[in-house]
Amino acid sequence: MKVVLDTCVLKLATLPNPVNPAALIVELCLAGAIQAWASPAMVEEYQEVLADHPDLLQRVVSRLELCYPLTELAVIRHEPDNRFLECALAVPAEYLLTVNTANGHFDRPDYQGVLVLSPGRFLHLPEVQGLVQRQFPA
Amino acid sequence: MQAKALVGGKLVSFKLSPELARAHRANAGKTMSDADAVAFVEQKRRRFALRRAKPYLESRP
Repeated sequence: MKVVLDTCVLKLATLPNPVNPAALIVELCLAGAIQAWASPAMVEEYQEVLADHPDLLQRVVSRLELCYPLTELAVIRHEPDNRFLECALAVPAEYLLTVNTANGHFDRPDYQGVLVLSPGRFLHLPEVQGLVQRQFPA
Repeated sequence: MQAKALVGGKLVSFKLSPELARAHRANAGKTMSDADAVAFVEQKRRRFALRRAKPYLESRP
């Protein structure tokens, strides 16, 4: 399963929130249960946001599949968000995971077949539930 | 260290990897809403953009 993680998902994963779907998604990526894809521009942003956690950053980056989008998009009004969409469409990824679905950001549920989901909704997908059960048996 | 997430309506406990566990320990006592995380990333983006633009801005008379 190919996914693109918005940077805010990585940030949320680092916080000890009582219920933390983002952390579980990052663990699934680190375990290789799901494939997280990123472009160099996205990795630069990951570096900026995870600067306080260099070992986590290194581990995340070591598990990423890199892609090099050839097309620069201007589909999303908030310009930096287009880097994530470029990557997702170039792969093509099945899911773009974000909590940023406000107007002008990832405000469509689907971009040419790439589904935009929150971490919580992603964990409700039956195929993801199966992955979690295999990776973290009760 | 363990964390929890709702998976298909069930609360699931899972073991954090050492790197994520260290991040949770470093952020002990902090929580963030989705909106806070988005604001945090936007602030980082602005700082990064300003840092990149600095040589150009400083070279202007």
